Amino acid sequence: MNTLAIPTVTKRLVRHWTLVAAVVSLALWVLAVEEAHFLDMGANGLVTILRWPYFAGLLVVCVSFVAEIFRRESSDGRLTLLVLIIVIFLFATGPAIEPVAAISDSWIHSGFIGYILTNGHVLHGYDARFSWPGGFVLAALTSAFTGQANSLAFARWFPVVIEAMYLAPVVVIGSNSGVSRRTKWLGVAIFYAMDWIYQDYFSPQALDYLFYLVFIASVLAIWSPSRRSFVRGRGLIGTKLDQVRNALKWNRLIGEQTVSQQSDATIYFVMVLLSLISLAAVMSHQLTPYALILALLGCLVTSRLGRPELLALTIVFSVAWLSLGASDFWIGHLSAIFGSVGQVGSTLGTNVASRVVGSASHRFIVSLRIEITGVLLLFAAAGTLRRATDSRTLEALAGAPFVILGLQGYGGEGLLRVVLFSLPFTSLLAASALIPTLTGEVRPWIQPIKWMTRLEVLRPIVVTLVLVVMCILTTVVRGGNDAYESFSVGELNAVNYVYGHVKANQVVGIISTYLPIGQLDVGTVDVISFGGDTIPTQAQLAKSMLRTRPDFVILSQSEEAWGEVVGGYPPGWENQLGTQLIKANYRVVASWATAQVYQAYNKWGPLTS
Amino acid sequence: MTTLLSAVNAFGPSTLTLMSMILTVALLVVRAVVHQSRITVTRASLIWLDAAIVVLIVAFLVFVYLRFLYLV
Repeated sequence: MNTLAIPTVTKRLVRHWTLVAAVVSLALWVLAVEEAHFLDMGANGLVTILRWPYFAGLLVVCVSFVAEIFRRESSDGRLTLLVLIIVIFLFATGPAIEPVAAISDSWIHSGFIGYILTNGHVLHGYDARFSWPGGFVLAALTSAFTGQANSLAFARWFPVVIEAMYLAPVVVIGSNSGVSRRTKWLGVAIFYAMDWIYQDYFSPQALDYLFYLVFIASVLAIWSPSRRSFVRGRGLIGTKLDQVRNALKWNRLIGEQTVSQQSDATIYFVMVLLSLISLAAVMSHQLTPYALILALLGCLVTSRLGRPELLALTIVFSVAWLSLGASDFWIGHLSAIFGSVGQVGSTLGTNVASRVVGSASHRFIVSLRIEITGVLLLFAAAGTLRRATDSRTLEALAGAPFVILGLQGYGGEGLLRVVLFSLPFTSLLAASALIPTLTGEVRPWIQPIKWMTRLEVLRPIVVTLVLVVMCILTTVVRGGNDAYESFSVGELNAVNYVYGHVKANQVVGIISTYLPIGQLDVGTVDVISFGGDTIPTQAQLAKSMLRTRPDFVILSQSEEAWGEVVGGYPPGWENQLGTQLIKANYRVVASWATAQVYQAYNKWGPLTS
Repeated sequence: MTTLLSAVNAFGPSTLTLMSMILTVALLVVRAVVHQSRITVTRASLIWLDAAIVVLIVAFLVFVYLRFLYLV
């Protein structure tokens, strides 16, 4: 009995060797996290404290994933597990090493949620984000439901949880976009391997992105084209022109060129759910509903949306919320919404050129982000040319979000968001460049080259290399700002000290917004950031701070890193500022290794207001 | 809801915006049911329904624009 059991176990281990590799890679990840020392982080962020176990583990999981894709007995369960481990590597490493939630907006959003939790309503006229309170209200509800005093408990691990939640809709999109199974799974992995954009922190837009993915996944899963209106024998240009003309025919625009395998009851049920999701999405974020509208339009013209009422509903809900629900935001600031319509050049300039500033390390990270995004788009273009397909829905969905750039600059973040909205589809197209689907009524622009089929054996190696390089680059650029976007316990203690001592209507001065601040006293305490949108010189910074004379000033490690990395200030600049504050009758009232709190004094004691 | 109601001033652009939105949504629901359940109606009725929806959406957008002008 025992002699038979050993070969059986060995056989199973061999058959499931990718699972064994998954366990090994997880063990290496734990080792990497244990070895990393947060306080040793350098100017290039998270990657500076990661040692060999991280990269060895990443290599193991990527090799296992690609092997699982190409093996004959490939399993969806094993692939899902391996993708989730890639998610852990890319999105859980930061939260595991950094002692508190990263990104100052996470803390500000917790403050908004706390305000709703305490007062039962939003604070009018305080912040534009309160005009789209859906996500905050949901978080307040969840906090109350789980017995939390505030939402801070969710903030730290939120990125990895929400990224894992994106997996299901992205897999459904892959399954229903006409690519092969291998291409689908590689596309899913590339989606994560290129998601450096860091819009998954504790925020309504991260939640809205989930709504966006679920909406599109549901539409693609329910409807498919009824027939292709084929045009042949008109030459390349003539054929393409006729295809575009067909895409705009009335029958297609009212959803008549689609079929569905689902029952009417299922379709009604899904439509009700999608309408609710649409309503929730328009109340939660400014930009996502418009990306959803463009995506649905892309589905409609490629015969993938059978009920155009969903598109009309989303348009009506979005515009109605902007007009009626978000009037706090636009009254007096209408140019913020419509001012950049048609100004694609200046939008791109704001989104790209103005970001390449600061120290050499910061410019390196920003340039790398732009370059890898460009490479992904090139891969996607190659995939478009190489793949055969039954419909060009993926291309339409990948291109649709870019229309936003012609309408809204979104405060210099438009391009980031557009790339993110496009990512699930560009990833599948990029995967098609490496593993093109060869069957489909629409033939590829570039036919497979015969002599290259002899190199088929090299394909898994090339795919592995591409995936590993993408994962490493994303590790570098995603955590590239962590030197100032992640916070120590000392900094949180300093902020809590100030919240414990500051009185209503007093002013708290900070250098930049890169502090774990904003989670308390929303609307009663003024927090002024002297760094501002346009980065001042060191002298201007000190001058404006001393002129305003805030009641409390917090100087910290992350602010110092921000000054060196983004502001281009010399090392030790914060000590000089501290000395200037002391000379201007400030005193250090609390101090930690990574933060100091200064309080304004006069000859009778601390200032009272 | 309080925000929504307080934004609605009777007989002004806000009321018209809200009413045209509600009517549009109602007609869209009717359209979805008629088409999805393949209810037998004349072709002219379907065209009138689509025309009514398009007119309502255009009216809704005009009211939104007027509201921008009215409140900005």
